[in-house]
Amino acid sequence: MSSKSIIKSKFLTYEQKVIALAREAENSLNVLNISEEVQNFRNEGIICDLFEGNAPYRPRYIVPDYNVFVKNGSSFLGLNPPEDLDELLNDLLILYKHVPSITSFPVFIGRLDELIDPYLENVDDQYAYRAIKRFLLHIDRTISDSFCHANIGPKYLRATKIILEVEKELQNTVPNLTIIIAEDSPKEMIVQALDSAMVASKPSFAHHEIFKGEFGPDYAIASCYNGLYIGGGSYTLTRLNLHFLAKKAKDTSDFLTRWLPLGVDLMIEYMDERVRFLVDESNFLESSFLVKEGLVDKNKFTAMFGMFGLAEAVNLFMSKDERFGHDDSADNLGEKIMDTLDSLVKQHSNPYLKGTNGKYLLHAQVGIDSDKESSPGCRIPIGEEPDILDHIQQASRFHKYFPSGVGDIFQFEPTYRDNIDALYDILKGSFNDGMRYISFYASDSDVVRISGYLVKKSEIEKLRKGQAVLKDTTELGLGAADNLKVMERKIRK
Amino acid sequence: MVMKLEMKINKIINFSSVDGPGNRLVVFFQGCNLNCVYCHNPETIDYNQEGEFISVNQLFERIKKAEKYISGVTFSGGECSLQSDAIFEIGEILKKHGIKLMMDTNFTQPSIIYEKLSSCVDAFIVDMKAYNGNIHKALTGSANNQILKNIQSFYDKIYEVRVVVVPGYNDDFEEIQKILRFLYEIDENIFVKLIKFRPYGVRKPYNDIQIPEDHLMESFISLGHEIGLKNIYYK
Repeated sequence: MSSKSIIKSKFLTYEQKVIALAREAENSLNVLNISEEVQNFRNEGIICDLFEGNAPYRPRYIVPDYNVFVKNGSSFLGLNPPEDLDELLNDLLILYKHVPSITSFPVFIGRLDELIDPYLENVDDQYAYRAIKRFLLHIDRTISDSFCHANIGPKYLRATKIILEVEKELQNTVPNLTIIIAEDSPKEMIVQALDSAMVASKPSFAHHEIFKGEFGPDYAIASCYNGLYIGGGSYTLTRLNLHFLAKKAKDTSDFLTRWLPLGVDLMIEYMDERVRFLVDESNFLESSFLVKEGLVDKNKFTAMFGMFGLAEAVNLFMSKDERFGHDDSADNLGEKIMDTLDSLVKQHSNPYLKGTNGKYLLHAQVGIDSDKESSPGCRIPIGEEPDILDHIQQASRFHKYFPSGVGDIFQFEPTYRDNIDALYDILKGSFNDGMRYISFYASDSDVVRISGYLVKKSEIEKLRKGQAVLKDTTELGLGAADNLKVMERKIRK
Repeated sequence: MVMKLEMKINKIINFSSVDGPGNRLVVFFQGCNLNCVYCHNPETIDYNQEGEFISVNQLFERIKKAEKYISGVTFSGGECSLQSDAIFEIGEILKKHGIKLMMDTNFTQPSIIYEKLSSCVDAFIVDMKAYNGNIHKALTGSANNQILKNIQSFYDKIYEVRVVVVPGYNDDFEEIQKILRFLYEIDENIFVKLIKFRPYGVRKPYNDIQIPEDHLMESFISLGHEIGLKNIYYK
């Protein structure tokens, strides 16, 4: 879209126009040193920076340590530490408007139950419910982007319970919500969360022991489902299209020994350059009050090496009867590709990635609205989903590779609302088999999980008719419905 | 070595949310001795029409794959109790491995069969089609004396009694009252689920039967409460 067509658009809101124009301005610059080889891979859609822009001037994902803010207030914002629930919620809403990201909206707004619970001591349930409801409503209507993510759990606090109740009632797309589930999280909490998921399509479920094993206790789930350090973030996320890369190879061995190493080298060359500009030249870390006041720290930052199209890459090398997700030898090849990718990425060190000892973290990228031929991350293509047990067990084999995010989504018949214990069993089983992150929703819900974010079906229909809608992510949902066929995900009976 | 038995099944569903508590692996056995007008899977009635043989060991392997994901296994059908020898054998293995087992049964077999199975089956889900013998005959083609007797004998092993309300057959006040009173006299706490007849999968001409209205089902629930049943609901 040109600047002129952005300005004249009938279906963009004012806010969406401003953000789109800023992107146009950024993209008029050419400040990155990009080699011809990298540029060729970008042109071919093998390397894709997910519209991060030509001149990175803020980290893609920022994960503030909101505890620091609650404890100290903010001298930049002129706020003292909050003294009661109303002050806390108001101050957080103020702060959110100053937390940038690739979308210009915050992608992480805190472990809300832990932040709120200490302020509930002198407040009755009804008051707390109304205050939290106002707070969450405010977030949905002002942070108009579904990549905004809140976390709750693994403890079942009073605030956890109230947040779940409110979210079930509101059925809003923002914030995206993850509940962290630990070995000792009470069943009652998990059942409440599942019950909410079957109405509001959130929360999603994160396996605490897996994330804790990689990050320690201080991690957050941000944006889609990205594991990152609290007080840090990710400078960039660029993705490698394994499917398109595999098309260049003669056979499996040619792919694994020639093209995959080349793809990784060029990805890293490009990502290193983006990170360098952001850290050394953009002055974000030097100027942002978030850094000065200790809400984020460059020592906790990393960057994410994304991949997608594994299924199609595997299928290119297999016979017609040996499909990824249905056949052991195909799935084994999938694992072999991932093992190779994992070790290639780990061989590289970038001194700017201080949070992860110079290493990029692997990320199973959920796809973008224009993707047609390549499935998200390592997911089995929609339309080819096997029986749910086989599906979960197959997917679980791949979750270990992705500290900075991977997830699978299952759509259920509404009858499951009558037997939430059944979903509890499925969740427990999948965690037992190494599933890192999983989402459930009911086939009759208006709010649906597109890939890593939520959109309302009714809003998609409005947009289809050319009407303006509040959330910029609705447009992504529309594209994903048409291209990724996300509305045709198998319904589990 | 003792030969492990085989059983004839129609299919296995790894996950089901409607066949007992929690998530369950369900095995549908092939062959039934009743011929219910409202049967949703009539292809499982004739033992010879469909199905495949599976050994006890093979079935156990299937169950083990799903074990971490389920609250238990439910044997359904068809009528599973017609293959009670094999069920007893797999049931004993499941018991040894701590895997819960329920049987969704029509309770038509001699009491001694259920007596024996009780050692390895945690609970029965029972279909009670009618109280009146003639109505039962019209609905299923068979008598119900043994069924009623078994419900009385094994009530403390019953997870749930299901009554499908079929317009034109058992949906009159008097018959439902008799069914509910019969169950109440056995145990006021027995779980009773009234289920609306639904035409999906049902053979012609019975698929033309109307689905009962909510208000009719609600009136039966009220009736159950009046009689004194503590756990009655409908679906």
